[in-house]
Amino acid sequence: MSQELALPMLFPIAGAQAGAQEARPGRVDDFDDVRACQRGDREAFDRLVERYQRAVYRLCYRYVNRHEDANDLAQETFLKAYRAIDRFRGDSAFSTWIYRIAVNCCLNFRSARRPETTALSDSLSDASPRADAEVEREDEASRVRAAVARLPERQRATLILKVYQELTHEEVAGILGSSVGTVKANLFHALKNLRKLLESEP
Amino acid sequence: MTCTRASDESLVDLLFEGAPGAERAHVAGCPDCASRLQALEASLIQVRSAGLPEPSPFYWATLRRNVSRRVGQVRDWHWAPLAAAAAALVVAVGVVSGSRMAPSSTEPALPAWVALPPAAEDAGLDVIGGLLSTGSGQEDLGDCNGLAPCLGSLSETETRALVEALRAELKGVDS
Repeated sequence: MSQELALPMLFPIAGAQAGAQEARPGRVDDFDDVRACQRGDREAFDRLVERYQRAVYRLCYRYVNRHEDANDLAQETFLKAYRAIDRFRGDSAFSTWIYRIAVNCCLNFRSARRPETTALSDSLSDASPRADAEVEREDEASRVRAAVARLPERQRATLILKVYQELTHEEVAGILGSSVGTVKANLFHALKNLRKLLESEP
Repeated sequence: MTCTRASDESLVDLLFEGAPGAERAHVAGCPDCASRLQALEASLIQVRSAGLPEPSPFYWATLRRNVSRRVGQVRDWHWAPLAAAAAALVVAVGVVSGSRMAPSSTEPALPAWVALPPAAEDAGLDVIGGLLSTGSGQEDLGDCNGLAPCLGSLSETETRALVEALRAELKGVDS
């Protein structure tokens, strides 16, 4: 994490830490907004979207490694959340609930379409000239993102939720509907497979 | 031979959330397990250091706007079946009431004024009956199945004649 913080800001990087902080807003606010939304308050839902948009978009991006698809998936996630908001009873945190919807959207997306591991759109990046070290760092990040996107479904989802969303084992297990032991096993294999993938494509 | 005393799960615990002292002590003193842990750690560092390109600052507002627009469509969509059901109900009520209001093909249409007073309470019917019996004969009334259908079967000329006779009768009462 410290490596991210040390990066110069020529090419802005959405760090996992920042994403995780945005993804963990106050539960009291979430609860109040969810209740208001269930009473028909559209602005309350807008506040939830604003609070979670970055976390949901980044989760989706990590999964599909493509801005256009991540954008579609993020919208789909919020739409499904809105349609189902009346059924949210607060048994889990709203963040857990919305991540579960996002992961399901990603899993369905992957089953319907071929994996995309293409390079990022240039339009997303900072157009200013970048130092060689910065270019090299971004190339390496791009290579890792592509490798993550090639992991098996469950391993990828587990890794993204654990490492980038910084959730606990129990939270990840709750989202994926699996046991904590399975989460740990998937994490182990995800990191091991990632190493193989990165070593095979220097 | 590679030591596997530290399980995969306990290595993950060591990596993310700490592990029992015994496991930690073993890994620290076991080259095999320490090597396995280091390999995982190196992977984790690479994963963590791979940031995402930040979209344009305007992107988030666009995302919210698109979500809001689509949510609005969901709301409209929720109302659509209700609106359709309401429209169908209106049409159904119109058809049913229209069929009830429509005159039966087997019964003659009655002039509006004969339907107003309940027959049992309408003293005027006795007057009309008297007029019919004196004007057209009792046997004519006997052909009708009741006074109301009989009135409905009158021709326009007969109806007009009846109205005139009623007016003359009422003038006689007033004077």
